[in-house]
Amino acid sequence: MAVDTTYYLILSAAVFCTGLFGILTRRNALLFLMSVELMLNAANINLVAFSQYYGNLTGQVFALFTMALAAAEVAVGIGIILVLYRNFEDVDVADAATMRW
Amino acid sequence: MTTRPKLRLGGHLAPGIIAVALFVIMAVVFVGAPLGDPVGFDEATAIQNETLQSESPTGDYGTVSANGQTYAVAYNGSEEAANVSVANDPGVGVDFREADTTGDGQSDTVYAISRTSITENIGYLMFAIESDQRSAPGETFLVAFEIIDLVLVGALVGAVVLARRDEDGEVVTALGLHSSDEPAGTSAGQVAADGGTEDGGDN
Amino acid sequence: MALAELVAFALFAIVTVASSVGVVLVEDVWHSALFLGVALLSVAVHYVMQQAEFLAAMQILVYVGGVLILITFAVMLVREDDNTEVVEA
Repeated sequence: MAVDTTYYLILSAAVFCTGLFGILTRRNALLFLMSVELMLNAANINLVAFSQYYGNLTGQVFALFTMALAAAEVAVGIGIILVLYRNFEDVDVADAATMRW
Repeated sequence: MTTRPKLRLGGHLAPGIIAVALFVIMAVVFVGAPLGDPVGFDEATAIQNETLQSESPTGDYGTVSANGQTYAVAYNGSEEAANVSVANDPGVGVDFREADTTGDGQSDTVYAISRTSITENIGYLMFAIESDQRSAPGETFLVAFEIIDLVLVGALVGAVVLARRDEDGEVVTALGLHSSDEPAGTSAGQVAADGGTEDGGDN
Repeated sequence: MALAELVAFALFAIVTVASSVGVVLVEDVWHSALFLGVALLSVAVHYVMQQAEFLAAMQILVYVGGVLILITFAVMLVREDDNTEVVEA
């Protein structure tokens, strides 16, 4: 028999909150990117867990879409980080404060 | 040079208490949620050799028991047919061949129950393919797939068209529309794709 | 059988959570990227345990093969090496 869905939910909550923790505590833009990856992965774990729970494949198909989105998001994020580095000689997200009020 | 991973601890971790609190809330909610056993998918691993249990008088259908379920097997007279569909349950395939299972020297017909694999079902769902091999429930995603496809292609084309960089007062674009090796005059007065002028605009 | 699955889940859940925490806590960004790779691979194991074998393959191909390589690329380009002065001197 398969593992209880509750355990997967707790695992995914832990991974999600770790990603949130990273975003709240670090100032490196690359760490932001990795934390967002962790949070997307947590969402995927949830989708697959409920797909298994209901015996319905919609969750798995949707998780595939999330993966494509994550790949595209990283490509854009890398571009932004490289421009950030070129303009500020650093990847600290607090440096780029031109549009802040 | 090899460096050992070092933890970065300190006062800057204080805002992370919010994330920890969120985890505690989530864990309490999840543990309290009344979730039963997962349903799961019947997988292709359910292949078993079973012998025909009962047969119709005309010999064109019978029943086979496997995995605690009884399947009605319809076969069209010729037992050489590779795959026989199972009545009322698309996605379940039955193979049969001759083998001596009872050991009485006479060959019996052996049936193997198999289901369409999950990966195959994902393909049917994602591209909304109507097939009687589909066995798992789910929604079709063809429209979503096409919309995301078009949006991503649009983003890619937009990025290439809009890409521009100021190099010593000269605008360099990815497509080379304003490059200096172009004959003078062809790009004169041309409006850039972002609505700005060709001399860089907001760069 | 059920116990074995539970033990396997617990082991890989510990790996997933520990490497995720490692991603956000280590000092060096490059070490973070390596921990992220471990986390992504162990998530693929969880997919296999939930009858999502195709997703597990895609997880490894897309995340470890694509996303992690891109992040590594950015880390290499952006990293401030502590030994720069030593090398240049």
